[in-house]
Amino acid sequence: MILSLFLSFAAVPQEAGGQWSPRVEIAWNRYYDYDSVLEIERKLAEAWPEFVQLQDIGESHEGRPMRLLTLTNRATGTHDAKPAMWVDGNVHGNEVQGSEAALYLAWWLLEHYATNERAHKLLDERTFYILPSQNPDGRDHWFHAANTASSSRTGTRPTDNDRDGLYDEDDANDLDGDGEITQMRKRVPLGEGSHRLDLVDPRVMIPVSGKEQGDWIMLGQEGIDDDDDGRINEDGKGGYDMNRNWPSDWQPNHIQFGAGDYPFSYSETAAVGRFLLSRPNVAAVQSFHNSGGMILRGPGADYVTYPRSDIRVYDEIGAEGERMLPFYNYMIIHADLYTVHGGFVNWTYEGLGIFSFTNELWAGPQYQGGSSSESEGGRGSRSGSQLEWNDSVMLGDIYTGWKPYLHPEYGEVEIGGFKRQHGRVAPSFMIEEMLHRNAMFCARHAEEIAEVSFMRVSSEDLGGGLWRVTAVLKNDKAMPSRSAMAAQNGNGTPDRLTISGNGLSVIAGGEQRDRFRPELIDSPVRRPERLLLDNGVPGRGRLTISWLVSGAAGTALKLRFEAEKADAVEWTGTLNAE
Amino acid sequence: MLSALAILALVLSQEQEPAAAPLEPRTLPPGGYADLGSMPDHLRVIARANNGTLVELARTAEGRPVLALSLGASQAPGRPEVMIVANLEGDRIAATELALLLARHCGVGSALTEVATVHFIPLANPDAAVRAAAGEEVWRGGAVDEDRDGLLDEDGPRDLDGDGRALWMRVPDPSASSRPDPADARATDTAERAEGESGGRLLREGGDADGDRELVEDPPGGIRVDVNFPQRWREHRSESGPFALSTPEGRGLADFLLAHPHIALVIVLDDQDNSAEPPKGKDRMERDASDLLTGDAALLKLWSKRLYGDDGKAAGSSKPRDGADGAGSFADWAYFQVGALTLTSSLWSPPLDAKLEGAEELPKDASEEAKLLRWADLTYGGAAFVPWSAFNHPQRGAVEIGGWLPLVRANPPIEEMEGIAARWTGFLDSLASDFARLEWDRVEVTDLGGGVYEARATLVNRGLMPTMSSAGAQNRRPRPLMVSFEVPGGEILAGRKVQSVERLDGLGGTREFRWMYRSDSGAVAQARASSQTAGEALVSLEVSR
Repeated sequence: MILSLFLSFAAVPQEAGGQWSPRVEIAWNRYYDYDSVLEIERKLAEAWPEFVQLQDIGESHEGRPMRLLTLTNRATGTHDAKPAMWVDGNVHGNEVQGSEAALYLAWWLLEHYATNERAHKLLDERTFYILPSQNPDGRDHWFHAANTASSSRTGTRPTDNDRDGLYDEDDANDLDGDGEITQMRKRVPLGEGSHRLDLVDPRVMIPVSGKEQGDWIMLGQEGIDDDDDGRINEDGKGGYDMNRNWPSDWQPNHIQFGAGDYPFSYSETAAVGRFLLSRPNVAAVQSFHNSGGMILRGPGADYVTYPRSDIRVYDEIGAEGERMLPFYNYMIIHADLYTVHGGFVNWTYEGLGIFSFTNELWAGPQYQGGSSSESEGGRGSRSGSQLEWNDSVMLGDIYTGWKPYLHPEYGEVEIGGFKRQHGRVAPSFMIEEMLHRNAMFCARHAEEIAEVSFMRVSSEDLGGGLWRVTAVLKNDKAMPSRSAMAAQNGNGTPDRLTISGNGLSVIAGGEQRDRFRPELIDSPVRRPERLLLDNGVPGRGRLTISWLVSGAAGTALKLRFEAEKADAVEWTGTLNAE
Repeated sequence: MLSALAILALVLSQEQEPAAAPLEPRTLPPGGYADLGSMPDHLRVIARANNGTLVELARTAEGRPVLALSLGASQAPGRPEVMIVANLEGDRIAATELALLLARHCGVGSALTEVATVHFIPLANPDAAVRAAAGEEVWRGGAVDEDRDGLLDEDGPRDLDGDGRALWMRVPDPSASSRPDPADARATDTAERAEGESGGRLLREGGDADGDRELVEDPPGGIRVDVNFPQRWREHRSESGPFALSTPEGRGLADFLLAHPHIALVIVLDDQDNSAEPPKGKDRMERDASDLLTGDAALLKLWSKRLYGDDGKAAGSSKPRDGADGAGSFADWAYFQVGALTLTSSLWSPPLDAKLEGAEELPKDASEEAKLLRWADLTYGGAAFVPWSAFNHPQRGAVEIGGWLPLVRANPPIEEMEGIAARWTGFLDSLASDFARLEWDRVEVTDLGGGVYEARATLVNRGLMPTMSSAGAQNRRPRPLMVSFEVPGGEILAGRKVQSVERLDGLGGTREFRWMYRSDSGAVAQARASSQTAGEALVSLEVSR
């Protein structure tokens, strides 16, 4: 039973007129290192102790806590008694903004609980399991060591990527000591180069083609041959991909780089796996990554077909997401992006039967708009137009100009390029918008978790003490109470519908597939008084169940629907002709 | 070289004795076998007597330890290691027995432990094994809700006829595809329904404890350790587990193997068998591979000859248990994903097709079970199979109860273990000279004048085993051979300071290296080769006279 503690809402929405003063002030125009993420979780728990519980579900390789924030109004029921949504971010250490998006979701719902009817309902009737970072070590390393926008994707368990018996011994090196890993380029005699400098903007490298002659070469990321094996930066810190370490369609390292020794071989993925396997009430999953502006669903690889009824759910939520998130596209991972074996949302849906999305946060074009750089490279070149935005909108803040450096292996080179805060994360002034839209996408996803009710229950006297009891269950939400994938794979326990009454004997029962033909029920059935509903109650649909029972008129009847991923509901009445 | 091996193989091969009916009935398993519940004690005694160490790999769901006994460990660098794992399925008690006998054989002074460290895991799945030995024939661990009704293990086998054990039921069922074999009415054969024969279904003895009208559909346990490994792991089958390596036993074995990169050979004594009749193999390892690679298959052929002479087919069985094709098995994972050379053996199979003295001839088309019964009747004096007898089943009416006693089909009588052990102790001893061994050969250093030198040296593998399996060379999981070059105070002009070589074949696989360097002081350069399974070889590159 759901009790509404706050029966009336404040008359004026808090945000009206900009007069809103949040209970917890958090600057949403910046990114937070992992210690600060923990601090925000603590503040939320302190400000709303009746809604927020913190729990360490495991430890990272370096011993940082994997601190899960469980969000629900405990006065209306325990977290595990309500259908739930899992939200995480940052499984790739450099893809940082997912953590802020996950925290923002908790913060916004809490701040609006008293004034926003839908936030109120979500916190009363649903649970959110929020893990801001699946990769605390990678996150910490990205913030506190020299990196690119793309490095520190991995965790930090030492890994021998070049198979020489040494671990992480040849990482990129911050040669110029500016705290960033940028690019190296070298001037060579004309005709021996692969690039030339842009005539208008010599920061831009133009690849030469045809008869054009180059006088520069690109030498990759800043670094030296630390282990004397003739290669540069080939065995950096960590060196694996925790989003390839999940059980469904997992493939070993030689099929897919970074997969780990076996599924859940990393303490971080194992912690998340253990938790999700113990929480059958999770009905929705959202995982935040960067970048590119995508709302992704599986399959990650061409090895499985999703059932049509589930695709309808995905399509509906995905299409709404595209409208909520300008510049984002709803896409299928293996068909529209690339193949992923053993990805997280592949496991949560293909393995566990939970509707799951991965959002790739931040779409560059929404910031660069209609760039029109004057340089040659600017016309259609990524770096040219981005440089223009560096120069104008960011006043040069996101780029380090090329400077000479004497390299131990390459001699005279130049070092320079974009800093890590450009390219994959939103610039400071656009962070909050990114967080809000993505957090509300989660809220909408959670609002579409199945909500089952008894629409109608009737009994018909067939004479001689025999009755036909018919119940119509309805679900107005997009999601079925059990996904077709879960039904197909036998995940968890099917939904249950029980009928009971004093002295009542249940002879037969099952789904009635034709509303005009009550005798057409699925038969035979095992234990008709406790029907197992393999496919649950369909999304935006109804399910009609009929029983043949024998009993006396006026017998008190109780019908009870139970599901792992929907609230239980009961109907009580009597055996009586209408 | 090859002929020497062939002679060795001949010496070691056991004469195949014609299968003869024993005069006295043999002892029914587990009679005579080591008590599985006391495995920790057995291993402790062996460890104490032989300077061995015992490590707990895992603790099972029922609280039993999975133990690894390591013998022959030493501080010597580059010492190869062997891992011997037995009885992942639980009912292969002969495999456990053999592993124990081999561990006793490999004590101080044995040929193999002189040169290698050997890790024995004689009982990889103690929960299932202890239950199997107690007659439950439940070779699965971990509770699973097979019938997905929200109740766990609520409808398992039960003794209905009051004979003290839950065996099998033959339940009439017109839709079933089996029938009694005319050659031996106790045996079950495929029904020829077209000919109008009535069918029957073979079920475990039991009722309908949960009232769902299904018989014995949710027995205790459910996850098989040996389908719980990540190579071709079959998701969404209840026996596979919720994820690969979800079982403590599986995880413990996997982590042990990964933590011991010097393991040059894994021997798995269980259901699979690639040593009695090694397959020809394939050249490439595809995704979800299940075929041995040719290079490794050739080595297994040599070993097969040593074990069985030319008669592997009769001696061992390469026929997997029903439906067991290696998917999700430890052996396949160790080989295809870790890249460890892996030999599997099922040790023994009942002589189905042999001429048995004192037994009547069976018709040509007799079922396998009829042949098995013929052997079992002779061997155990009819005690291995309880004749079917009519029973009035509370749910199904007229059925028959009887069938095989547990363990009989998967294990030989204890009396045969001596011969099997002799075959394997000889084989283990012979492995001592097989490990990959690195040597530098044809070392030539030329003084080119002006302090400039050219060095050439050839690295040779003198062992029978390659420095890395062919599977390892393709999955690139094991570390390659590393070769480093150093000239004190000098400078390399051509060649690499550090380089890797994927692998050297066994029996004289070679690779030549060449460096040009300047050394004004005339200091002598050195080259060092090191391998995880073949140790190290160092050479001083002195100027040739």
